[in-house]
Amino acid sequence: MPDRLQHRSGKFIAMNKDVLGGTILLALAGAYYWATLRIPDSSLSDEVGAQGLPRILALVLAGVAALIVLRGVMARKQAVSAAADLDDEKDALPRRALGLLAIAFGYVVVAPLVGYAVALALLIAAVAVYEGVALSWRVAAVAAGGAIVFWVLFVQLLGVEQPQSWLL
Amino acid sequence: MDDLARALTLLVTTPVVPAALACLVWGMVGGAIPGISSSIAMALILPLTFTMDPVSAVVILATTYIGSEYGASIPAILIRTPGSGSAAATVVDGYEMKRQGRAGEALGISLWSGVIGSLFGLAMLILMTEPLSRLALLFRPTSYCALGVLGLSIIASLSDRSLLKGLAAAVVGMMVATVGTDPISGVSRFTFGLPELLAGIKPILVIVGLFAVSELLRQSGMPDLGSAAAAVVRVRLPSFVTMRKIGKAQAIGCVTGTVEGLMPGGGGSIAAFFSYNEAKRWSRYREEFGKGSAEGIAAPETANNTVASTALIPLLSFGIPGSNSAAVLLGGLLIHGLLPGPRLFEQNGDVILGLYAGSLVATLAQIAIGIIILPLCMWLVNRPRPYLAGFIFAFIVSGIFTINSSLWDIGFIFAVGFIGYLMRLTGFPFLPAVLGVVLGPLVESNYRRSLLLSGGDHGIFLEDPIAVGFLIAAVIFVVWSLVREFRDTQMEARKDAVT
Repeated sequence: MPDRLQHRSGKFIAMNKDVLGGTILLALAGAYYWATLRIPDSSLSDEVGAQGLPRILALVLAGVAALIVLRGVMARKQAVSAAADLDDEKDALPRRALGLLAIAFGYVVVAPLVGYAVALALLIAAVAVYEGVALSWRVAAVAAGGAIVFWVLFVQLLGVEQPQSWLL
Repeated sequence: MDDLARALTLLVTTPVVPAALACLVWGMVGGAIPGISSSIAMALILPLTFTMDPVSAVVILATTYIGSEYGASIPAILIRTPGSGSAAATVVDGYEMKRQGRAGEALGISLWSGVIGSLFGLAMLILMTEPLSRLALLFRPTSYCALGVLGLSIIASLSDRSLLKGLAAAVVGMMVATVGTDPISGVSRFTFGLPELLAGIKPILVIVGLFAVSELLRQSGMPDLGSAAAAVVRVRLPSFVTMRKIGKAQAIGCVTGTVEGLMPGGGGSIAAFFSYNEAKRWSRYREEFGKGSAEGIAAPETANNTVASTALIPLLSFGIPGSNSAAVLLGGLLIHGLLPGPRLFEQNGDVILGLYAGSLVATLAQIAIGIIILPLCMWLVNRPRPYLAGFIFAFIVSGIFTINSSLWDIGFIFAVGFIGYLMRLTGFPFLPAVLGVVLGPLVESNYRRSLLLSGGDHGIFLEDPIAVGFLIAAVIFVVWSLVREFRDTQMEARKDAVT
């Protein structure tokens, strides 16, 4: 793709991100303001109250978010529309990150069941395989060895409590 | 002399020395792994400081910062990949020297310059911090509130060249800080009935999530960097002739590092590139730059190591962190209930002395440890990235669990990490968000205290000249950044129209 089109496509993506980011922030500001309406009043409250600063923050965020969206919309008019292909390439990244996140959350689920050391070994192995290492005995050995090292470091040397197993 | 005696006592009676040396090693090792910047290395170890005494905790964080600045130069020189942004300028001449078979010499210049920069920065820290903090004795609640607003405005305007996104990030950070129990009325805010949120959201969870977890998510799927030189590399400290040759470049690095460290949002990267440019401008051997110049390594490495100490000056004096790493250190102080400012010097002087003493020990030990630790750093740089990612995740979950023994905290930082990942994708900076979380309670409590004193009259802010000055400065920063951003956008639009 010629440089000038690449440049404009990149700008198109950047401006789309501005519109998306600004819109999310607008929604966040609205939800936050709605939540301030649910903060109870208190006889111990001061002049500002528990709702005071949160409402100011919600309004400031809404204003800033609107400006971000406006800037994104105005800049989009100057960009080339043939950026859809580039957008598809970029879309793979969030899915990849979500996969890694799912593995990480898996630790939170599994740790109370099998305990710290086993869960940690599974975490190390799962991340390594997800990131491209072929599943093999070597992965298992590295993961097990790493879990033992961490167990010795945190539980034995530092005396820090880690998740216990309900089952084992 | 009393302070000196107290510092020596601290060195002998507390674990300051082993803590400093251990975390100097950790900082070097962490900094040597591409993708782990000094702030991430500090964020990873931050949870471990939760159960420690304040002196050890602060020393651990500060020496991690010092060690990581040298550590980041190792992959910059060996595999043309800086361990962090502050070592990016070192790549230019460092990797060129490695290609010429002078990797050991390059690492030696980096190490020596790092020591010079650290010593100078520490001297500036000791000389400037307490006098500046005494200015804060004049502060009233209105001044503190305005200072928080100024700090957030500066960071928002200086980071990432988009004021609007910086402001948005700062406001969201302050919104996160409002979660929990209101300190004045005792009502719960934004807890949605969850007992885990009643105590609020600890800044440490946001720091680790944004800095460490989001980086891991961002690097997911990226290819390995390839191995470093197959030959064993040994650090060669510069000869006296070379030391004289690079002296001017190091002096330039010291000055630029001090200036950049004092400026909130400055950081090591800017200092490194700025000092490289100035060293080249003033050098008698200008033609050597870019072709393996010793000065080309000395200047940026001196600068970024100076910043490691001088960035703590605005933090300790006023509570405004000068960099991401200083923000993590602020998180460490807050964990132990320590508020930066003059009270820190009066009521917790041992913490400050311990910081100075520990940093001095780490700086003096840097040469020996830097030489000894190089093989380990090279080994780590060559490890397959997937295993490194797995071990870093393991470190994170183990460390975070030490805070509250709660799996909820671990889940929370992963969620924050994903939000941080989305922030990266959409160009929203982290530092304003972290500062919003950290400074939000300061701003709110002093704002409400001010209005309590005045019976609800906002005119009290106009009666305090310090507050007026800070607020005017905040407005100037915001307006200047808006104008600059608008002008840059217009220039981009004109350039697009021409092409």
